[in-house]
Amino acid sequence: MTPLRSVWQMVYRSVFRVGLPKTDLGRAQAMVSSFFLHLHPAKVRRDTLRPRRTFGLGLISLNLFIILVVTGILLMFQYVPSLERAYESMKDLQFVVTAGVLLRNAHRWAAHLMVIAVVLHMARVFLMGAYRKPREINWVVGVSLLLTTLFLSFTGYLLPWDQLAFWAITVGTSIAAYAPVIGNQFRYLLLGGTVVGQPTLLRFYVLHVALLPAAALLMVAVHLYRLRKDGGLARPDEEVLTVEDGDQLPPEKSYGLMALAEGSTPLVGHDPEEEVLSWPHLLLREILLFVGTLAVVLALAILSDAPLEELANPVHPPNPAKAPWYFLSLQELVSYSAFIGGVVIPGILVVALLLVPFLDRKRAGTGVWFAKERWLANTVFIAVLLALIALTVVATYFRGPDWSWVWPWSSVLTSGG
Amino acid sequence: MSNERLPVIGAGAPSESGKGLRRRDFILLVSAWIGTLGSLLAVAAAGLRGLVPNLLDEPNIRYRVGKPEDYPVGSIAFLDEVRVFLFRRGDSFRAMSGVCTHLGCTVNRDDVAEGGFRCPCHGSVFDDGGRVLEGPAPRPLPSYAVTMARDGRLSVDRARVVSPDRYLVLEEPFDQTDGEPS
Repeated sequence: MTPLRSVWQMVYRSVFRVGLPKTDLGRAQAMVSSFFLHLHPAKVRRDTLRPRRTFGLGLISLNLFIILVVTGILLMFQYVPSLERAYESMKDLQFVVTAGVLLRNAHRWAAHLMVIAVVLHMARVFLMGAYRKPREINWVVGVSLLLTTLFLSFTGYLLPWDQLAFWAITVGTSIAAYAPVIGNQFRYLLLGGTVVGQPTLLRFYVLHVALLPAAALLMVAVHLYRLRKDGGLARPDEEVLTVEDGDQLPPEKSYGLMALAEGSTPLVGHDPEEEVLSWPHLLLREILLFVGTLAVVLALAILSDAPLEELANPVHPPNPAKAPWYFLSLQELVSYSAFIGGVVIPGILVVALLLVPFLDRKRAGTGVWFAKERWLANTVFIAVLLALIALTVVATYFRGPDWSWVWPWSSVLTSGG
Repeated sequence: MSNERLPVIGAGAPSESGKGLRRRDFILLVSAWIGTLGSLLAVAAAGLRGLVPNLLDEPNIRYRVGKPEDYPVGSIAFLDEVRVFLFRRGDSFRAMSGVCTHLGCTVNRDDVAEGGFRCPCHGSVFDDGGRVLEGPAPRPLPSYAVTMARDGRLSVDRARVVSPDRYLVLEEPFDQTDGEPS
């Protein structure tokens, strides 16, 4: 047994080089020497771990993304992106595949929750003014991730090939055609033709399972990397270095082992009492948050089934034909004017979001909730968010057949919803 | 090993005046970059061009429908595959798109009101000539040229948009069921 044991020891040591750490130095070392942990700092500020600072929204978004990738890959084993098989695959998931309903429900709920979590995460960062220098680019990456999340939802929406899917995508891609100059060509490219058909289904499938998740993964990696390099969470008292020569800019917050072993360097000059080791404090919270996220997704998946309407009928839309809820504000806007509501207003919102960190160069009120100095920016942001929510509520509950105004308590039948 | 002799790509020797690149190095550098980026772009363009379909598996632009006698006088038929309404008035025919110009839903014949078409998606209303009466639709529903093909069937040419007043008038008795060789 002894030789076998020593071989096992060798293999184990080659993978887990430092073993389970027993000292603080070892715990710090573990964070830097493992590929899977090295995005974490060796130490974090106590502040960072306080739930009320962030509500863990970014991490919840990441957890949901992980759940979506796993359930998505499992769904890929069941789903065939063809006009003949797509809807049948949904029925198979429902009636044939063991835990197929749970799988699809979980994927759908995680997708809905991810849209909410990402929007709330953005709201948190905005309301704290945390997009300001030096975090401008990470804010831009974050806005891109929001758009990718929405586009992932949109492409996933077509795949069941039921009535809702078909007409939501017909309407959605027609909005794209209103974009100036390239609108029609873009729609043709997106659909792979002039109407939603087999080429469209295949294109959306590839976008949904390969291109967009890969892009999202890359951007998430950049997002987390920059989070570290830009000094973690924004704080009111942080120093923003303004060295003109980029090469000379020292890393603002990065703990090498030297810093821990040799005591404080100028970069870690603040009170050590403010900081705790990431192992175990940060890791434990991350694991708990993941389990919590998964529990919520599973609970919703068990309690509420993802809807499946009848097979797509390319001739007649359902009446009313409603987009998924996160696009209902857009649909309400396009019901007034497709160009203004579908292109101009969303375009202005996205450009404004992207430009915010470059227009707002002030420092006051960074890193605190609802800072007095930021009342104007915060008010505008909340107003826009509330307007979008109001439009969503109107489109959900007050729109009946032919998109006419109905009162929710009247007895007009609405399909889907 | 000394790397003094290792040439650094793109870093030419300074010009005689002591600053900037020599002209020869500048030209080399610029053409090298153009060549590199240009060829990469060309490869990318060639790879992506295939995504723009050259052939569509969709109904013909000039869509062959039934014979005139298949459509009763005064009827409005709906051609499912191309989503076109075919009107018959007396011995005259016209065709009009049933695809809402707003966002592509199929409009429904409004039987409750007096004629006209209504879009279920965002509530646009059109009259029988396709003109927008209300709602967000930016353009009228286009009318298409109807022609008679050689085999005696009607054909809707969706590439030819015509005025809603244009009818295909069949002057000769077109009921050829008796005259056809069988």
